Amino acid sequence: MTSALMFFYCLYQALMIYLAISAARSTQDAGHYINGNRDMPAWAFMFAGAGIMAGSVGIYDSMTMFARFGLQYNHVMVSILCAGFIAVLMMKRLWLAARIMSARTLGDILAVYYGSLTIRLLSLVVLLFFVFPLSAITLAKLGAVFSVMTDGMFSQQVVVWSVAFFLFLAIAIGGWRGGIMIAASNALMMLLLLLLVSGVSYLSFDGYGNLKQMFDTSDSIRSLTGVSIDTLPGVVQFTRGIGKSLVMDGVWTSLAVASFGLALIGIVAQPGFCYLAINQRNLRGFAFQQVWLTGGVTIACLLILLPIVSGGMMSANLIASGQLTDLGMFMALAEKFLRFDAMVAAAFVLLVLISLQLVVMFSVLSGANIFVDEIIQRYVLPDLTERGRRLGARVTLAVVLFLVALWANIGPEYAYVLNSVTFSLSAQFVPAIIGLCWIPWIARPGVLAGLVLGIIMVIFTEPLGIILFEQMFIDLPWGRWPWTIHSAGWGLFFNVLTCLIISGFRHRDSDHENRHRLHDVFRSEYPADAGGRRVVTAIWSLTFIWMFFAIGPGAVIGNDFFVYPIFTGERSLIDIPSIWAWQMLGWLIGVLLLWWVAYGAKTAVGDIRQIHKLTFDNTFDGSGNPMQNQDAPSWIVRFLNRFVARK
Amino acid sequence: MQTMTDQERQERHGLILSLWIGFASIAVILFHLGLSKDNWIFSSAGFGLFLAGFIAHIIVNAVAGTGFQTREAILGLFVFALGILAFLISVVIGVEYSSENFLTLSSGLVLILVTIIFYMITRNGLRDAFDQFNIIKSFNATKADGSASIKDDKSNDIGSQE
Repeated sequence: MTSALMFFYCLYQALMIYLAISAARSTQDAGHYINGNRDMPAWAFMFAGAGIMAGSVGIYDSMTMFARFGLQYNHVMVSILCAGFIAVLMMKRLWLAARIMSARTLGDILAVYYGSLTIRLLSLVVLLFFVFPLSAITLAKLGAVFSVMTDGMFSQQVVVWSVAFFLFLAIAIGGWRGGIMIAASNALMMLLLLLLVSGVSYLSFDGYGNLKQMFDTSDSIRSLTGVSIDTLPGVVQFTRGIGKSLVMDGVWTSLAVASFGLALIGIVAQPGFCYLAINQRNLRGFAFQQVWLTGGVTIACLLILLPIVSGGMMSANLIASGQLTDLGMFMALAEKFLRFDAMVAAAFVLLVLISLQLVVMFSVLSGANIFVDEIIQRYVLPDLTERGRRLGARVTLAVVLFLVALWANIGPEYAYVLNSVTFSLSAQFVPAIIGLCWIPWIARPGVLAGLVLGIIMVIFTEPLGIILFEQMFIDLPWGRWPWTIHSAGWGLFFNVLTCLIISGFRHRDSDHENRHRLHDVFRSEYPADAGGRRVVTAIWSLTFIWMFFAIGPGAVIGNDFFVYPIFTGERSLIDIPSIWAWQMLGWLIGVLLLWWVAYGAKTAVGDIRQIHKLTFDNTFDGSGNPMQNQDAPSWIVRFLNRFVARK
Repeated sequence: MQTMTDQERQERHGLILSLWIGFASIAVILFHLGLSKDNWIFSSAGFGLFLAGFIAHIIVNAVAGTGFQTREAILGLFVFALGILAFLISVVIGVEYSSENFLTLSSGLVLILVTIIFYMITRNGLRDAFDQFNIIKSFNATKADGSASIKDDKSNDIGSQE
């Protein structure tokens, strides 16, 4: 397989470099380098967006998690629709807000709208989590997989540095335009490879047959691994959390699934993904990407096809009494493919490599470019020319990739601890973004207090906060994900509550006119017309009912619903576990609802002919001292003055 | 037929390239499986992917308001001719196919040809589709009117000769 894998991988990298060169040659203008001159084609967003979603959920991680937890983890795939709903609600208005306010990034939009430098800095902190720990882990995994699959011909270190160099080459040549086109190309390739691998698995070595056999004997599996593979282990388990008390039958209760869905919102609410949307030429492709490519194709692949492929991992893990590592399970499945055909085995490994590479590339590319926009040009070198920005972006990219590769080589275990909060932290921006897009009375004090509280809750329900606190002070009474509720759920619960309560009291503060000006423009010139109040009520009622039954507490009904239907009292003869059928049904209904919200209520579509520009009083740009016209905390002012004073 | 800027041309090229990298490479793997495992399902899936790539290409052309570029047409015909040649040579030198696989390969090649002809007829009409390959007519036209056929030959868009 080594030669086939090497051949395919190198050929693929060469084609990506070619794509980057062709993108660079078509636009000689330096302005295109950083953000494609906000003129990116719809197809790039459509495919890249869906690919980033699939890559961030993780092909490799999803397979190994499925092998350990079976269909209870598979339920997480339905909850990706939560991210779809949030994307549908926010992307169009973020795109509009960026143009109305002449803002460049998510942090920029939120900072100008709420008049808060802290929000800008917090968005940069979240961005750092995507750029460093997430990328370092992903690159380390890529190195490990490639090294093992080439029988150690290349060590993990060599692979990590080589891939980092290739990524630098491709992005430094192609810039944002080339990078996103490569991401789109990778996404298409991932889809086709997954179809091939799952097709071969189904047809040729009976991957589904193996899986079905395991479902039929799930009691013996439970006795081996302690996990119920074909049912959700209840609505909630009132345990102290992972690491502090035992969770019966597996951790993926329906509340764990729903709260993990909230964490997945962090993928679309991350500054990089918003940057991708903001830099689109127009709104074409937004709804299609969110509804059909992410909600439809991506979830279908992860929900239906991936289990068929992962069945081989699960059986290998069972043979080893649940003792295999992630890499061990992956190797076992790759060997199964290898026994069938070397080219298919290479395709299987390539699928995983491309999905990992896509995440690294997008994270470092968006991180480096946003860093140039938000830090270098805003605070360090405000007079930077277009050519200077391009150079700055390339230098930043080189530094970022160097640090990521270094981290991937010398200490990925620290990255695992830090990365545990990445998506959850990003999801904490949802109240702020929803306020900007839809709810004018959500005010700065509420958003800031909610964000801070949400971030604290996230950190202290994940290993990052727990380990740090316990190392420095005393043992905490709870562990990771207490009550089997994901950290994003804990964070967002307190975040939203605080935000609403404080905004309720403070929404008439001096900055409320600014906020209302933007919403007035939204309402008068770019309205979302669902067809009346009753329709809106119907949409949201149905959406919440769907959430309750598909990913919320009602999902446990699906454990037996199709096997022992309540209206017959006898066992039905469907050929798949009841919960899997429930998941597919929930997914199909969810996509229909998503379609209704995106197209029917016009939240993600529209024909924008003219942009109504607004100037905000509390903008940090312009001639005034950026430190004087907002009430930033003094420590931030002192910290930034160190940079500003230097120019 | 729209006039495209460099950037639009590159965007279309990027999309076409991305589509064909995926479709063609997976189709090659499927053909390899079909032949090595002697399984007609894989072979037909390979042809299916080629046709899917072709249809995706047509959709992109429709969205971009263009036809097939000359280079794309030449490359496509070259690969198709190579496929036919390889199949014929393999039959001549005595490579043994199962009857299902032989039927799949031969009918797949015919299906691709039919699809191309169908596309040309629906896009250009029967007469113009024939004129695309009517070299004798272009010789005659060159004698009668020195520039007409040369202009046709150098067109950068096969589908635009309506």
